Amino acid sequence: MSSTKDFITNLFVEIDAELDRATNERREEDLPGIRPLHIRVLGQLCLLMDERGLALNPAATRDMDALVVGDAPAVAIFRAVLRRRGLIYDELSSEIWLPDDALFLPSYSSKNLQVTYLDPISALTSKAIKAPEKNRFLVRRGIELFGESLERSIARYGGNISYFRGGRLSL
Amino acid sequence: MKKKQSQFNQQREERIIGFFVAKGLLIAPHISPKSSIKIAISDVIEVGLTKEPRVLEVLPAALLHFPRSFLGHHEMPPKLKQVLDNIRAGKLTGPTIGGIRYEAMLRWANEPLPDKRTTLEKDRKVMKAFRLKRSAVQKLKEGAAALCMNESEYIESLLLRD
Repeated sequence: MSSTKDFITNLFVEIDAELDRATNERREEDLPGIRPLHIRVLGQLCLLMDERGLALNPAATRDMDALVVGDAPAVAIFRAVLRRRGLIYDELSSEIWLPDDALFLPSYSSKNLQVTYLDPISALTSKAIKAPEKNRFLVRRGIELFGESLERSIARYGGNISYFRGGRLSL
Repeated sequence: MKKKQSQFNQQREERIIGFFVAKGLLIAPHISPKSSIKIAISDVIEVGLTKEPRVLEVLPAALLHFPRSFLGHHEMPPKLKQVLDNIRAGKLTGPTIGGIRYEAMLRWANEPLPDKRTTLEKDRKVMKAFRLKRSAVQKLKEGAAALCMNESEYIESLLLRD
């Protein structure tokens, strides 16, 4: 399990190093530096960044959902490093619905880069409300793990808890 | 009996997800990659409908890139066959499978894999035959030779330039 966490941590270390290099190059050319890049990881990958999320045994596709705020060169570096490591930034990430009380937890922090990730209960609530079919079994495991706190959160935003107790999906 | 069935299901899930992890289509830290195995399409569908729908999201990509790794092509559900036909034809819409939208399946079919060895469906060459005048053929040969291209590359460069 730690190998995936290491993979994700190394990803941010690499982005950080590239941002550092780019900032130094710009300074040498008397250009303004690059402001810190802020990444808030959403989607399935945020479950892989959290011990409780990992306990759900999640599987993820190679796309990274994230809210990214920063200067254009920094965002370009973020995209390029992701690509090099076989991941793809989902350009529609900003359209992902989040609960009003969504909580972000710290993951990586430096002068160039601030990374946080959506906590598992907020992530599972988002999935239960907006993509219940695709996440039926994951949310069920989440309810087993987090119990009432997740059930309350899903119910608060209009989700149907009994749906996640159902059996197989239909083709 | 119930315990045996549950064990069988668990092993099947690990095999199927492990295959997709090995091919670079899924990330699953709790499952080790299984590269040199053959899997039944019906098993993938069963795991997708009962455990992890994301295997359905990447199944068409795997079927197109690694067809010989799969058993049971002749028993493929019509909906899945339709998805593959639509992807091959470059169509932008198609059926949903187990709650997974066609657009998501199309996306992974058209994304390069980390191993960079597979040809994407959108980049695959298609045979076309034309009857041209001899003078046109002569021009085609000269144009291609001038740019050190073969004739197909020359036609593509003319058609696809901005």
